[in-house]
Amino acid sequence: MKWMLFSPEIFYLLAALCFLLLSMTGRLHRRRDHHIALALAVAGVAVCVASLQLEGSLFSETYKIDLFSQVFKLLLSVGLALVVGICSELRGIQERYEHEVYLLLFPCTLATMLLVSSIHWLGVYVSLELSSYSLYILVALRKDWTQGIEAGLKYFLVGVFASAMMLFGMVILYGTTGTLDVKQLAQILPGLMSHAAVVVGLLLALSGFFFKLAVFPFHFWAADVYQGAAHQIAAYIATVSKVAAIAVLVRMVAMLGGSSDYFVHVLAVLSVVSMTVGNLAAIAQKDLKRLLAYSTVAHAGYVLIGILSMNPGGYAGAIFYAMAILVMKFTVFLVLVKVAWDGTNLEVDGLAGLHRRSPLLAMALMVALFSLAGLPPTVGFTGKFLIFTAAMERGHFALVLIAMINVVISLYYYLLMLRAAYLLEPQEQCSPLSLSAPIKLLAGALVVVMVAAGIFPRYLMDLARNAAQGLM
Amino acid sequence: MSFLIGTEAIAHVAFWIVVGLTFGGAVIAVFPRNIIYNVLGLVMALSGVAGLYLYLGSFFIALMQLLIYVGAICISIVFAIMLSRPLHLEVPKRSVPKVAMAAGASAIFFAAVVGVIFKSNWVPAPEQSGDWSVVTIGHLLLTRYDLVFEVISLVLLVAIIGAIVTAGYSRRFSS
Amino acid sequence: MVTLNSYLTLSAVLFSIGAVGVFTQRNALIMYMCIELMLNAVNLTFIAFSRYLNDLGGHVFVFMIMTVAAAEAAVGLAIIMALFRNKETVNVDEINLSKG
Repeated sequence: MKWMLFSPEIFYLLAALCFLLLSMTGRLHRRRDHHIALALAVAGVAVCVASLQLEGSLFSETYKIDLFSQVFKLLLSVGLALVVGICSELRGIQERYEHEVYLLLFPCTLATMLLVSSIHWLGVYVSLELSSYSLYILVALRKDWTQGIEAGLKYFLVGVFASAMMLFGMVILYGTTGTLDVKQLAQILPGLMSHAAVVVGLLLALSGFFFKLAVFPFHFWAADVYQGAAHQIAAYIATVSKVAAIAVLVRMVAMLGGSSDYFVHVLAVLSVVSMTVGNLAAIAQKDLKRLLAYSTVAHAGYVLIGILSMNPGGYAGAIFYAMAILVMKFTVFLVLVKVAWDGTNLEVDGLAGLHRRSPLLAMALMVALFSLAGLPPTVGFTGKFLIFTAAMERGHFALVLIAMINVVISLYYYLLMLRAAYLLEPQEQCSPLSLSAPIKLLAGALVVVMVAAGIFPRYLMDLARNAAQGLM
Repeated sequence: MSFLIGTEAIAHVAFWIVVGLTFGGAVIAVFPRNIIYNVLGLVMALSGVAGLYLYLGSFFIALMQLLIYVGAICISIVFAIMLSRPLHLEVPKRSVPKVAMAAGASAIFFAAVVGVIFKSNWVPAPEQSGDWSVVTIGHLLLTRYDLVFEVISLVLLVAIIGAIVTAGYSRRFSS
Repeated sequence: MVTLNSYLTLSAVLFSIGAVGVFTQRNALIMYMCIELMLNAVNLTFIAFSRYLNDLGGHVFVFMIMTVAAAEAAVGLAIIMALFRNKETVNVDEINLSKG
């Protein structure tokens, strides 16, 4: 039963087809569609949980299924289910195109799943493009169309440029090694790491994922795209898309990174610049989504530290951090979607009076922000701790020091957000936010997860360690 | 002896003509500020690349290049220009520092790549035989690369849906 | 005989010219065309290496890049046209594209 290995992907393909058929019926039943999407997304999580222990390879050894890929598939499916969970009112999207949102979200998630398992450059490239194209369109579907289309265009141009760079890197690697198969590459490359061509090729080949993760030279789309996209779509980009990019970077660096000092140095520079640029730019932002975008850039820098440590601890830290990012960023976006319920953009000051309008959301925001800032006892602290200790083991003291300084800088703007939510008085009277019971439950659960995973991280850490073990 | 030009010499001249076409086309595609010239330059450059594929012996890829790039993409760019862009609009001036910076950055990149090209010694395959026919490529697509082949159909589906959605969008909601 | 290095140099030239265009042009459509040029440089390199290494993988890759390029044209041109028609501009400066 070899196709069982492929079951999560098949499930998401069928779910996408289901929405293709629904969108052809033409009639819009918002509640029904949302319920179907939610049911399918939750079922997808179940399928991914069921296939967690599968192992094997498919398609002439170009598609690898191991604990690493299955853990990430689970994360991606959870991310999709969470995002679909806040899609009950898609006020930021043109009404006519609500079918298409689900129709594009499912193939996009499918593409990210293909990404984490592909170990052939061709598969990596094609699935990256599939996920990117769905996102370009999703971003452009904003109700305020000029904003959406502008953001979509920017995302498109930067993305296509990054993929041209990536292809150039792949072709250099192909020329030096004669193979496109990452597994064969992993056997050939260690002996060639002193060649300039290999290092340049490898860095360029990873640039497509630097773009997805919004790492420094490819970070400048993030703010405009987050601002221009509907909140739910921005949440998707900030969670699922990032997790997939981290997965590919971890796998490729673990398989191909070898022991080249140049490669590590370049990654370290990218990491430092991303952190610093992200945090400094975030301080100046008024718009909440722009601020979150720059904080994402900074977090990409932290993740890179884990990856460039190139030891099992570093990879496990990066995997753990991917889990943390998923929960933390999603919680902030949940608050954003509920506070800006009419689908318009929200300024940081727009959070004013949140603790009175909805104490639960205010608390969720507080925990998420503490977690993003890396304060104990939250999951963000544990993630940073794992990454920094792994980097210390490899002697990257300066890097960890710079990261620490950055964490302190980031504290400033996270506290500004918190101040807006707890201390600022709203200018006009705001009615309390009415939340549906499932959303209340979800917010409560997220808070519990963030704190519990911070205090008792053992289970998740073991999962991350085991997943990282399989990579080496 | 001048009338006894060998076929090799003719091939050589043809090669340099194709290279000139590609290079000239690329320059025309990138630098003028009248968009019609840019498209024509792109057509030239892409046809030149098709010629290079022929020279490399990949007849099928050359044909695909002409069909997809020149025949489909360039034509749809021309349609995009005709359908939408008000040609009379003022084209903005370039800022000199920006151009200089871009040229500098690209020159550094180019120098780095050329350095890499000439410093590496590329190892050729031991024998230059092999089957380059379309049949073999098709066979590979449906055996070794079948996953990619399936995913690409999904890419096309998503792109078509996306194009319909975004293109239909503006007309209905712009006014 | 034309050596591998001349093909590689030519495609590096094409790639760099395309990159210059992406950075200097303000018109979204021309930027897109420059990126197509860069992709073509990659394709050329793939075919050259594929011949040199006697490996069909490069041909298959080019096949896929071309198909993706067709999809890219559909998505990209649709977005660019939606922008054109609604805003009467194609200049990325006016749509704050170059703003960091």
